[in-house]
Order: sequence, then structure tokens, then C-alpha cells
Amino acid sequence: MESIPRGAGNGGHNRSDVPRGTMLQNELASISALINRLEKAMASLPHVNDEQESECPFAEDLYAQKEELEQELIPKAEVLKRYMVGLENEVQRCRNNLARIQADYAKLNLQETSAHYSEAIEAQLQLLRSATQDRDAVSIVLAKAEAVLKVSRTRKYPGRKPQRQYPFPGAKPGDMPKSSQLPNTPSTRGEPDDEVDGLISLGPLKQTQGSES
Amino acid sequence: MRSKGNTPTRGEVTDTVEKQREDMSDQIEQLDIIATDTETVRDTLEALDLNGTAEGSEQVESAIEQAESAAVGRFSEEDDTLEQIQDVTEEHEAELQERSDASESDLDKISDAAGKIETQEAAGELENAKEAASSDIEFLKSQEQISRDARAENEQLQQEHRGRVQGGRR
Repeated sequence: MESIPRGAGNGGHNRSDVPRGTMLQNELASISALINRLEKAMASLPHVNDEQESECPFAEDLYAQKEELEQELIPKAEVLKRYMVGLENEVQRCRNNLARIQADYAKLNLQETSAHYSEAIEAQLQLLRSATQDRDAVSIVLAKAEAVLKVSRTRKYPGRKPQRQYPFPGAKPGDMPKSSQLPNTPSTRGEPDDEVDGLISLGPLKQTQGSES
Repeated sequence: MRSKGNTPTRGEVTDTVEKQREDMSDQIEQLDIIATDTETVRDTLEALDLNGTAEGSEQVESAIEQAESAAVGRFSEEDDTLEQIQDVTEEHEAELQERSDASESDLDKISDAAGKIETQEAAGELENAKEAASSDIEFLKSQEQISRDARAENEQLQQEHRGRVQGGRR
């Protein structure tokens, strides 16, 4: 189990839920991917005026997907904050142990006891390096997450919470429906029940076209 | 009458007693050093927060515990060596006691003989022999006592150091 078990000196934080090593790297990779998706989503957000009008027919959908990614990232950032507390405690624990072992090492007289202390110092140093590495890795991803979330919070759909217009599976911000999937009869925007033969209408496209004409 | 072939001189007796005192003292000093190391190692184990990742902390704990085992093992070896020195010292004390007893027996015989001697010259010789025997007895008893006192003190310290090492065994 690559996690920190419960113990003294953890500042009240349960260290057992902090993954370490490969498990942590995998989790950080997953969160980094989410951050990248949110960044891309933000980059593809079209301009929408206060009347919720945009040249992009998928504007609300893109904003909705950005909101979803933002909402997905917020709890992940909170988890990273908890990891930071646990890993800071772990780094401090390793530092304290190392300082104690080194101080006692200096008091020893026998060569045979000193030799084992050298091994203990090396093992404790290795733990310290590992904890520091994990803490720094979390710190980098957390800082990125907080920075992206901060920007994301400034990029709001005007007036109300944006709703998904195209809830088809696998849809991503910026995805365009294939022409073969386009319905012949556009329906009203914002009505999910307006699917025809399993496809959704192109209501927003019509609305945009209408607003342009 | 005892043979004089193996009889040590006073200087040899004094040197032997002194050397045994020094050997015991050196060995006790060694036990004190090892006991101090053992206590230091145990203090380390007590002070460490070993609740980190299981594998890593086990490695640290294991190394310190091996240091403890090494110190305890070394103490046992040095304690055995001290026991041997104490045994040799005790044997020497018994030898001194034996020589002292023999000298007292000689003194009795000389006293008996002195009562039967009539010539003044012979009586004078016996008186000198009595004085020499008395002096030997006093010297031997004194050296035996010095050795016993040193050994008793040494054994007491040995027990204290054993208590430090064995009492705190984890």
C-alpha cells in the first residue's frame, strides 16, 4: 500500500488517504489532464453579449461544458490541498527523524552502532527525498489548478447558468455534429426532448442564423 | 616448609594486584561506553516518529534496532571478558589468602620453636624470622583486601551497567 498510515505528528490530518509514488503520479496526471481540458475549453469560449447572443451557435454549450469541467476540477483541487497538508507533515516528520538520528549518531562511540546509524540516515534521507518530491509535484499541479480555476471563474456565461444544448455522448466543446446527423427540421433551442431519430436538433444554429438575418 | 620456587616477590604481588585493578577498571569503562550507546539507541527509537510509509519507516527502524542489537551483543562480549578478569582476580586473592595462611602457620611453628631454643643467637634468628613472617602476613592480607575491595566495587558497577542494558531491553 503506497499511502501514509495514521500516526503521530500529522497535525490532525489523516495521512492514510494521501497516495504516494506511482499512485500519486497517476492521480496528478489525471488532474493535469482535467486542467488541460478546462484550459482548452476556456480557449474555445466564444464571445457572448449580455443578451446571451453570440456568433457561435454552440456558445452556451461550450460555456456549459467549461462549467462542468470547472465543477469537476474544484473538488480535485480541494483533494490536492489535503494532500499538501499530509505531505507537508510527512516532510516535517522525515526532517525531524533525520535530525534526531544525526544528533544521536554524533553521540555514539562504537563503530558497529555507528554503521547501522549510517544506514538509518540514508533510509531516512530517501524518505525525505521521496516526500519532498511528492509534495512538490502536488504543489505544482495545485498551483496550476488554482490559477486555471481563477481564470475560469471570470469567464462566465452572462445572466444565467449555461445549459447543455448537445448532450450527445462524447461531445466536447468545439465538436461539430456531422452533416449527416443534421436534422432537416431545426427545433427550439434548449429543449432536450427535441431529438429526432436519436439526433438532436440544430436549434441554436437556426437561432444564430435568425439573429443574423 | 613451603617451596620458595613459585613464591612471588612483594613487588610481583603488588604489580599483579594493580594490573588486575586496572584491567577491571578498563573493562568497566568499556561496559559504561557500550551501555551509554545502548541508551542512546533506545532514546532514538523512542523519539522517532515511525508512522510514515510502511516500507521506508521499517527500514529506518530496522537499522536502529540492529544498532541496538549490535550494542547489546558487544556488551555481552565485554561483560564475559570482565567476568574472566574478575575470576582470575578472585583466584589471585585465594592464592594470597593461601600464602597468608601458610605464613601464619610458619609463624606458629617459629613461635613454638623459639620456646625451645636456648642459645641467644638462634633465638635472635627466630625472632627475625617471626618478624619477617608477620610482615609477610600483613602485606599479603593488605594486598588481598585491596584486590577484594576493587573487585567488589567493580562488580557493583558491572551490575549497574547490566541493569542499564538489560533493563531497557525492547
